Amino acid sequence: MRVQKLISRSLLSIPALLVMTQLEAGVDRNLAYPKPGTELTADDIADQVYYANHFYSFDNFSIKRRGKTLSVLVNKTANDNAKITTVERHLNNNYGDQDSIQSRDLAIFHSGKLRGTGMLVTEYRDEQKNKDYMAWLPRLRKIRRFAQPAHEDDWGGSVFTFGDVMLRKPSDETHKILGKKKMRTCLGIIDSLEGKVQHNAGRIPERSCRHQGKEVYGLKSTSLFEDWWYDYRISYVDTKSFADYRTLYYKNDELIKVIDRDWGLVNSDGEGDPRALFWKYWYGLDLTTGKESLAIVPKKVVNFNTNLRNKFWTERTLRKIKR
Amino acid sequence: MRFKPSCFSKLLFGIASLTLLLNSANALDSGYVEAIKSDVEEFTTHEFHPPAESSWLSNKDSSSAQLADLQGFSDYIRTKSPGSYIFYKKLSNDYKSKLHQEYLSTGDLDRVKKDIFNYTREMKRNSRISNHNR
Repeated sequence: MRVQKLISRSLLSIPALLVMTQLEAGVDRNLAYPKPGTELTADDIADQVYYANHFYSFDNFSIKRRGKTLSVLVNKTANDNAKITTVERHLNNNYGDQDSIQSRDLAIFHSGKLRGTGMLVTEYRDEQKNKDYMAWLPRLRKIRRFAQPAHEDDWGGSVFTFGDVMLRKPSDETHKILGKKKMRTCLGIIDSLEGKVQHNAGRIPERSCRHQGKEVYGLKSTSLFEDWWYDYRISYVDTKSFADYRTLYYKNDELIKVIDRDWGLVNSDGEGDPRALFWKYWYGLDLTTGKESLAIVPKKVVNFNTNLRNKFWTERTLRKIKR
Repeated sequence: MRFKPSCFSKLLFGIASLTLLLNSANALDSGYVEAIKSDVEEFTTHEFHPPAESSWLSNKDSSSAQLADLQGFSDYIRTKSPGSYIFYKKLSNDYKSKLHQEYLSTGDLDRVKKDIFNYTREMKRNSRISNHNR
């Protein structure tokens, strides 16, 4: 019973940087960047957004520990102190077309109640096959498997849900383009933390205003799930890189939640795939509760297309995690 | 008059709770929600009506940086890194534009600072070569 409790807690506590390896038929690493001048449909845009969010431009992508610097997830309730979790994450997309595995995602927690816990998520090419979720439980020194979490479950106790960060597929919604316009506002941030120094993340970023003036699509996505927690959401999608800077969630035409994502191009020479992006931070605000979440990925902990071999993404690595 | 320890801790707890409540109120009342609502309305109305005096918008009165244009970016460098700005202001407009575009795509200020020094060296080297050729 206690073990089950621990497992379910681990499952519900995967923080902001474990993220997004999930795949679906139709959107995979072979999705080409649209040719200039191509008229895109709403579904095309949704697919491209999915591609960018799942780091398909990279063979592998790691957010690893560098000295004291780590990626952090901050959760702040309306009348509570900010709670901080640190995590390391390694994503591997480098599996052949004949391989049954599509991708693997390994997360290791370095602080909080989940300290020492490891998670390995395996996505299979066969869409009918469930994803594998394995957790290394440090107190038991054992690996446990568990079922896929629900889309609406909180992600690491944050404003973000599992659907927001990893489970939702373009086919779960219908899409409609609202038009193109310029982005007018800065991205959100937790006011009380803006620009302050944090032990692991270094200086917490200030609100990002550098996307102002960029041309974005308005993409309205209506959920196909019945009695869902939102009716539709509107995303601001960059017309060139397909980075979704902002998503607004509506229920009964009332704004209920906002997620802002500050994206940065990984290759600063500006060459290569414009979708080869990483998140600098995620900010979430739940307007019904006043709860805020902030996931920060310092640039210096980002590594990609490294020489790590596929066997790194196995149970053996989970077992090596120090208590 | 002396406080009893229990009274004192209650008082401290009260002050702490009040501070937290005020902090949380700031997060929601900073004008962020109003700003994003007016932003998203533009998709349907095709007109942008910004709320007055918001720090989340790129209008002239806003305290947020005007990063969309080169002048705004230069001001941003001057504020964020006065040391680098000494070298930045001596660069040609081509280099400045290059740095501006780099910052817009990567958001990496540390990288921009390094490149300011790289471009400064490059400019000096180029001018030495051109002087030598003359």
